[in-house]
Amino acid sequence: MGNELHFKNAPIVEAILGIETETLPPEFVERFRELAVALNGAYPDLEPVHISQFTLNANDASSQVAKTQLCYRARSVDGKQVVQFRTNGFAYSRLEPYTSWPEFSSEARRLWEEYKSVVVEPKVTTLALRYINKFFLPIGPDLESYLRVYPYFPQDFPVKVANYFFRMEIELDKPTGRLIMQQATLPPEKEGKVTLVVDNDFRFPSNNLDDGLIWSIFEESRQLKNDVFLRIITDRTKDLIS
Amino acid sequence: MATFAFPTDTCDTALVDLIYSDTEASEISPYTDIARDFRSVVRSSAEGSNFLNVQLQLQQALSEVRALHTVADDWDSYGTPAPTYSAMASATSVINLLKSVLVIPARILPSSEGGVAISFSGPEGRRALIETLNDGDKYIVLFDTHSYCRTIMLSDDNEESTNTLVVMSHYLRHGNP
Repeated sequence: MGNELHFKNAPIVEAILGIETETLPPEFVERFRELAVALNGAYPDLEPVHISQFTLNANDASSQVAKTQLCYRARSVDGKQVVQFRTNGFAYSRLEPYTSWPEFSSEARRLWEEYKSVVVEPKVTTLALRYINKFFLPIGPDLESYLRVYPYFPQDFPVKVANYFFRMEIELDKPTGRLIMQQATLPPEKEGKVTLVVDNDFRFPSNNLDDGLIWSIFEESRQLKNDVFLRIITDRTKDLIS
Repeated sequence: MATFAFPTDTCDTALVDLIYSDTEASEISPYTDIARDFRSVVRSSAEGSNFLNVQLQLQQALSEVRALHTVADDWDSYGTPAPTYSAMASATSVINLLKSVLVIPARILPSSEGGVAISFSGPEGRRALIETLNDGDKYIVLFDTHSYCRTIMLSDDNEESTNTLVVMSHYLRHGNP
């Protein structure tokens, strides 16, 4: 597979590069806020991100909601780039229009360096690379005309699919990890077309890797995600996005 | 063999059903825990994506607009009429345009003017309210907790409306230009 993969009408609606770490103490949340503010105005739109945990006690029918602030999410002026500095890691998102891997990965790497200015020697646990694609597929032809991985129905059991959600977790060998592949229909956006999301989430468990190895795994996974993408769509779909 | 049926925008997608369906509390089956765990995994995965998060929350907002058909006339005991289908259709169109400006409504309610009210909140007390009224008027009110208030009419043209929503989004995030 070549290094470059470029389609004129690339279906990528979001690319996410994440580095998960061991959980830090809550006082880091404020330090992350200061870090986000200090990003020279490139990510001026800050919002807090919370996680809520709901506990139901079946014995006395009591319930409890615990809300914890996890991080600040910072968006670029146009809202197309989003960075999260979290107490359990870092994530950088590029929303459509996706530009290129060099641009995407170098901004992620720059922001990771910023993260490390606050967290000295973070203990990395997982590397994640996720590409979410949105296709507009014509109604009528079989799914197999456009997809090579899809919910299969035998020839003697023809069906018309109104909606579907499909998720598989697939073991990966090189690099060692897991691909979480999800497909889901979304509400129609174009007349006569089905809106289908194909979400490929590559996750690689890591144990305190140094930076050189982290970025070499991301380079490898970039090749892998291109390879997977090309294998799950048909030539007809390639024509649609070319 | 499977083909796609004609899609409709009046039904929730399987993904939304899976994540937001509230049937689990009434489910009594040995599979309840498995279903809940699966839902939690899928929800967490969707919330990890800005794109999917916006999509799902807007779908949820569309469901809330559809739910307004149960509102009756005089719902507020001040004689206000229930939202009409045309006001709800107009609110649906506006919510569909929000996908491109990445703004999520805070609440969707019947409007005290007769129609649908979609409210938004931003930092430092900034608020916005979109009203799509039964008489066909639709507008955005930008305001804050001090004294700022500005009303902008929404056009029937999608491109013009999107530009107005961009102004609203900018106001909510950053205040006045």
